[in-house]
Amino acid sequence: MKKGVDTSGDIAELRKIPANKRCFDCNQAGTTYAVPELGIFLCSICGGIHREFNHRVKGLSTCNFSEAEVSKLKSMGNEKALLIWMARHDPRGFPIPDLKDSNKLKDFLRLKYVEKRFYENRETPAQAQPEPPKITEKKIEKPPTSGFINLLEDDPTNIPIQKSPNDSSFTFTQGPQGNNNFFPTNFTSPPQNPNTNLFSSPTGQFPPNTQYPPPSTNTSYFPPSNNTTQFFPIGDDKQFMPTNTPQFPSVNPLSQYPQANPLSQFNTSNPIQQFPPSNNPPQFQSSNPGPQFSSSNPVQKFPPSNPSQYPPTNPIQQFPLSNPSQYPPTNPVQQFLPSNSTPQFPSVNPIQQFSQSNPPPQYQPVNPSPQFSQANPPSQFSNIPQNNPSSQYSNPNPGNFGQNNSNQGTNLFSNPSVIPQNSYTPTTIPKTQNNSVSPILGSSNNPPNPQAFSISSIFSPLTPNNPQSNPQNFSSNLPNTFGQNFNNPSGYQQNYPQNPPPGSTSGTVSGYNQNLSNYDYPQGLPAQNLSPPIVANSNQMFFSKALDPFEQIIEEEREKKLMAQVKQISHNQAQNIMMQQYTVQAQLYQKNYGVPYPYTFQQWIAINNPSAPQESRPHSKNPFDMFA
Amino acid sequence: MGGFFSRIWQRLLRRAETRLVVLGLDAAGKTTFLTKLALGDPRTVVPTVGFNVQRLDYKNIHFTIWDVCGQEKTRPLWVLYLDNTQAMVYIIDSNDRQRIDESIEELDKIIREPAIKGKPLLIFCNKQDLPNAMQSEQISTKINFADYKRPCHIQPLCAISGQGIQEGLDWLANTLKSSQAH
Repeated sequence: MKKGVDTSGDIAELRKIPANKRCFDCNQAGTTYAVPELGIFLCSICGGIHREFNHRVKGLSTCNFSEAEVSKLKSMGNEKALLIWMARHDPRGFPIPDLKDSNKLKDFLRLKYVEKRFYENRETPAQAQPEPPKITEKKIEKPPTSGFINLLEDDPTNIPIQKSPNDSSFTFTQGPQGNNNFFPTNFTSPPQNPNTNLFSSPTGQFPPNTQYPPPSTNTSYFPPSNNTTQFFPIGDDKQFMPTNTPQFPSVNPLSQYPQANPLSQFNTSNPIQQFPPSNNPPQFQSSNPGPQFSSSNPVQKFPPSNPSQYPPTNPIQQFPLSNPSQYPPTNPVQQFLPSNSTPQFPSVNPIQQFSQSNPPPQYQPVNPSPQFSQANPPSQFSNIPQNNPSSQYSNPNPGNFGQNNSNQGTNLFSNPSVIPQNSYTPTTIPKTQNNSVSPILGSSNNPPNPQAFSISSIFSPLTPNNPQSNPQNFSSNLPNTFGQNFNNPSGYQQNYPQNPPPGSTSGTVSGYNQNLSNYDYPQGLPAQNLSPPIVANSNQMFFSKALDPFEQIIEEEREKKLMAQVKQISHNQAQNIMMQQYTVQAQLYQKNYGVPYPYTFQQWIAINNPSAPQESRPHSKNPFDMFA
Repeated sequence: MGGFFSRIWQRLLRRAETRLVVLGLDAAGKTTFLTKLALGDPRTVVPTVGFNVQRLDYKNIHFTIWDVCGQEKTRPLWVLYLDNTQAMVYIIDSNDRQRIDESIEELDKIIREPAIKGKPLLIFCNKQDLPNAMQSEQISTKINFADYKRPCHIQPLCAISGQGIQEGLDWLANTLKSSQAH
């Protein structure tokens, strides 16, 4: 502010521009503040949020603006700034939250200004692309909510653009990976035009409806709308559940959100790179999601006319070459190719080929395909009875892929020691366990833990006919601390997450933004430390609904509630054990003395645990109120 | 009967009534400081228009804290809040290095008011948690405390986490008690 320069007239003129009459962030009518650095006009609430980002917020009527600031406001304004700051914004993916939801709005503005997620300056393309938002790993990988494309529609061409209000949107985020044997599809003829092929498009320009769809839309982008391929899962969904569930691609749900630049979508998540090798045994490279988000654009490597760029190590990438002589002659896929499609074979979507070669009966060990026998010995799949929950644990990699979400819930209730003691944040509790296999169900490597049964057996209702009422069984099952501190059921809660110790600094945030939003993920995590994929249902690897970022807040609250329930259950557990102890004692008393036990349960507790003596006078805040 | 005795006790141990004024540039953290002090949790505050008042009992001193808007054009109105105040709290945004000089200029201006002559001055250097923040020692070198002719104290503060609030208020309470004893 330079005194002597009166810029209030210019400001008054700028406020008459209709775009500047509405708040730049929340679109509320009436602007009272401005950020001269950004050249935008704000309402008071958004101005308050902007001050948290250390922006210089100036009141339009309460501050003096310098000439430079006025010129910046003139040159920018709300109208132009919208094209820059919201260039990559898709309102379907990130709806602008209401003004009432101040927390949501704060999170949204943090994305907008701090992370610059929607920022793109098109006028100066050298500085235009800020760093694409960092691939940040969350503390936990939330399993995407399950869903299926209704692929059994009468007319499959309508599937991609079908919008039904009842169906939540489902996205096919990844082709079958590693294990191609579970993709039973029917296919029409191979695509006539190779440019319309989704995966071999040399230009790298996806049709817009085949891009990553915003989660709130109902369009499912896979299969592609030009519909050169048609995918039909046949039969029950569970039939093609893989036992080895590859990494679900939506590890970071935020990275799936739509961006305006289609090329940048390739950088963050490229389906081609994740494309499964046709004759590869299931290699679970994708358990580490980091390499999936490579900065190089692999689409350019993919035109079939340029085979030299293919990495020679990957057998699939030699597959769609234009030279058919390079095909491995022993590839059994060729047996399944229609003869008329052979000249077009290089441009054929490889997904069709192996999917064609692997009809659903291949899951039955009685009818293994030759490819199946090469790559995946059918003995792996022979022990998969359907609807058998323990079949998830029969895979050879139980530590990585044998767990699902329900398994975690089992751990919570049966084996509390799984939970780390010092983790008090409920979001980090159960799912970060790397090798947590259910002790009850066990796995191939870890046999079922008999101790888990013993704990759970305490919960069985105590009846005279119940063999559990044998007191010797009880005493062996009861914990040692039971007799010592009888009134303290918190001894059972010690395994559960508690509040941080007062001296610990882990709970405090050093930054100025005190409240961690759910967009603040720890950055720079080494990829090796990532927890293995946790897939609630293994069919979710195919069809997932991308998470609304604001739904995650709700989800975290849900987890908090769950942890509260766990604590409550542990309390009930202590009560239950006390009840059984009482019953045992009552039965022993009756057996020895022939007289029913004279005390009720409440009396018995009162006898064994005399409560602490109360203060003679309840505490009063007013020290002078002694006669109250 | 009880009310009679309690009235006697309250007469004997009358608590000091103290009126505080919190001043500082805009976005220095005055309202956040007051919110943290009175309500205990920091929250997103909107820029103050006018003032906020909170009451607070601290160390047997009854504080009435006035938090005044700090925008440029409302700074002349600070004088109106200085009547009958026992102490002044001045908050400096130590992360905003460009405006620290401006902030100290405003402090020099307001400290000359006769209404607060000789009243203790507590300076909070806010936003110490930010990495680019100036240390309170650096800021104190810019302030000419000798000219102020009053008890002064400079205290680093993080108004969001509340670190430094208690130390500052302790100093203020002790100073006020000692000044009233004389």
